[in-house]
Amino acid sequence: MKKFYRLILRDIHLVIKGASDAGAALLFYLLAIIMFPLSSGTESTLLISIAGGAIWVAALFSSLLSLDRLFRDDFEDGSLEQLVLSGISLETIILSKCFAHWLTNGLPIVILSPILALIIGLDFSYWWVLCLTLLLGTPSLTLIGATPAALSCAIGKGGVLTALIILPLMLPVLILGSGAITAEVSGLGGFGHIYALAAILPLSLFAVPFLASKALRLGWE
Amino acid sequence: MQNIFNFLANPSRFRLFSQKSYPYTLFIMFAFISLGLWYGLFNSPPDYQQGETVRIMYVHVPAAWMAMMVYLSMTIMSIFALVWRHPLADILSKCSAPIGASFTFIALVTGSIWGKPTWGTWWVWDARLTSVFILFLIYMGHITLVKSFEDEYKGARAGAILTLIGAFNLPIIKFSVDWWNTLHQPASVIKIDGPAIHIDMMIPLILMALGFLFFYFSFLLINVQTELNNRKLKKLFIQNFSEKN
Amino acid sequence: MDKNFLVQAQDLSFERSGRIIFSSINLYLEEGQIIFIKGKNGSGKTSLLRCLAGFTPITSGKILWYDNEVLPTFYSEAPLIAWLGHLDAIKGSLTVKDNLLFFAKIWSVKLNTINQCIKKLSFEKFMNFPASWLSAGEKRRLSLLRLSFCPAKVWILDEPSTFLDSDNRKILIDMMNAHLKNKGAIVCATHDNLKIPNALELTL
Repeated sequence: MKKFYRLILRDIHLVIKGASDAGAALLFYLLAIIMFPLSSGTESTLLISIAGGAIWVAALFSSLLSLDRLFRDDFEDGSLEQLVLSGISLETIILSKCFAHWLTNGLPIVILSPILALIIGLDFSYWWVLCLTLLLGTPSLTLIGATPAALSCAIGKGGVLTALIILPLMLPVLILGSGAITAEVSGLGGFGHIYALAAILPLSLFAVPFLASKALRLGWE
Repeated sequence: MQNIFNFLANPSRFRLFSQKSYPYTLFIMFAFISLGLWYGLFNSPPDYQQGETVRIMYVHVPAAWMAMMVYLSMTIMSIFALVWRHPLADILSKCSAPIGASFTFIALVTGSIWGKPTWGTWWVWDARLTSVFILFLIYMGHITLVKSFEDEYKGARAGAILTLIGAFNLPIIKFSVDWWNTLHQPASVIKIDGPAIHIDMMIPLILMALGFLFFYFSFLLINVQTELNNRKLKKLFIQNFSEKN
Repeated sequence: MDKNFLVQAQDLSFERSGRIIFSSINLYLEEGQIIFIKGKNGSGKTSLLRCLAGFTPITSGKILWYDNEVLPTFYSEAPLIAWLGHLDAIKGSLTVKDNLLFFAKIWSVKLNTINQCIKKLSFEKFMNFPASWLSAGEKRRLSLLRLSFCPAKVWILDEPSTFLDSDNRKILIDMMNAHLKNKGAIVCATHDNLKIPNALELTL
């Protein structure tokens, strides 16, 4: 347990020292949302109807961009090799990286979402759905993206390919997350979506360490 | 069963087996598809609501079934590859992907063609269509991923890992029409109470499904032979022309 | 003859992309022993080390660590080996001290021990600088420093003397001798001629 926290602290330390692109990913989150009002003209009624979806899409792209380097820095400089030989299981390392990623990407996304809701004009009374779905969905986004991120270590390069693989896998989370907001806005009630969203989290928590560790070991072969 | 399994695990024996069997599977495929088309196009009743357009069902439904079945078999093969390191499992999975992608594409296109006269729209983002579209994207991602590896062995294993991540989508596709209000019709054939479809339509459907199944077998065998031959060729090149020794 | 082998490799062979990298390799390592892996470039020295550590699965044969089939990369109780490979595992954006302290905490090494090792390798002056400011030789020495306080009994070293000048080479040899005297064991792949008494040799 202690080792788990030490790993997370190290990753956060690295983020603070500027060794990762966490800050850039959050700026991108803010930037991405601006594209929606800019591209659809100033029709505010149209914008409000897609507001929930737009914020979710921006959150998706932000985590997508920062997930690419989730393991690659440590993989490429040999740190991952040292870590796995240090009496820590690879699965623990993977989970610690996912948690650190969520703390530096997902959680800020949740916290910043009210600001984005303001920019895009989502009504204040629906902010709770937005924050709740993002809170439940962003850890799943991190976990779902972890295995393709590990696979990109095996390929040796990332970029578009990683994004291409991660995106279809993230679509269910997107559909449920923004669907919950739309359902609430239209009065149908978003709790069905929210429960489904909540169910994805333990499922990914269970499956991802196993698959991602296989992918990292494939990179070492 | 275990013995056949181990017997075929050897790549050169599997190559021999596939060389001998694929002409037969191709023949069976032609037989079933021809029978199925004849029944479907000429010997089965038109739908009382849709008329003749219902006949597209005989291509659309089997294609959709195969799209899912291929992914299901890829999932099983991937488990064998990753958990037991079966030497052929990830090759079989890799070679199934293009076939599955093609079936998914056919299902999407024929479904769209069927949808226009029946629903009045080429496409709608309901749960069934969306999840099958996601399946298509997962297939394409799989093919791209495997291709991007220089080492084919690693590529096939990476494909196995990706297949398992995407496997969550299969139950979503199957049950989407039950869990959500969808424009796509609910399950009529594979249900707990048994099929809700008339036998005259059932026969061509089953025939076409079997034909498509043997299509899968035939082209899987052909693809695997190609893959094994490519690997053998590379091995021979390295052993005979490469600088070491 | 019930020798206590730390590492046993029985009839190992390794194939990659159809190329046989090495075959019929046997290796038995006891306490206080060092074995040098020698061979030309591309003969598979690094591959053998990576197979022993568990990064790469072998094509055939058996590897036993302390009579157990669990390889170091799968063992999660404590570090089974100290690994010095081609990659430094040094985070440039952290200070030298932070880099070392992280591993000290993960390996549960006392602060006293760390300070002694720092003194031995005269690294005190580098402590508070970002690790990215170090030269290649200094980074190598930093890896050696980290190696010196790793609690694992077996060292696996891949070309440890690269980037080291003659003074630092001597320090490396002293470190290796001290480790062997301390009942440790070393598997070392190298081109270099590191003079250590009673060393076994395996040529690929």
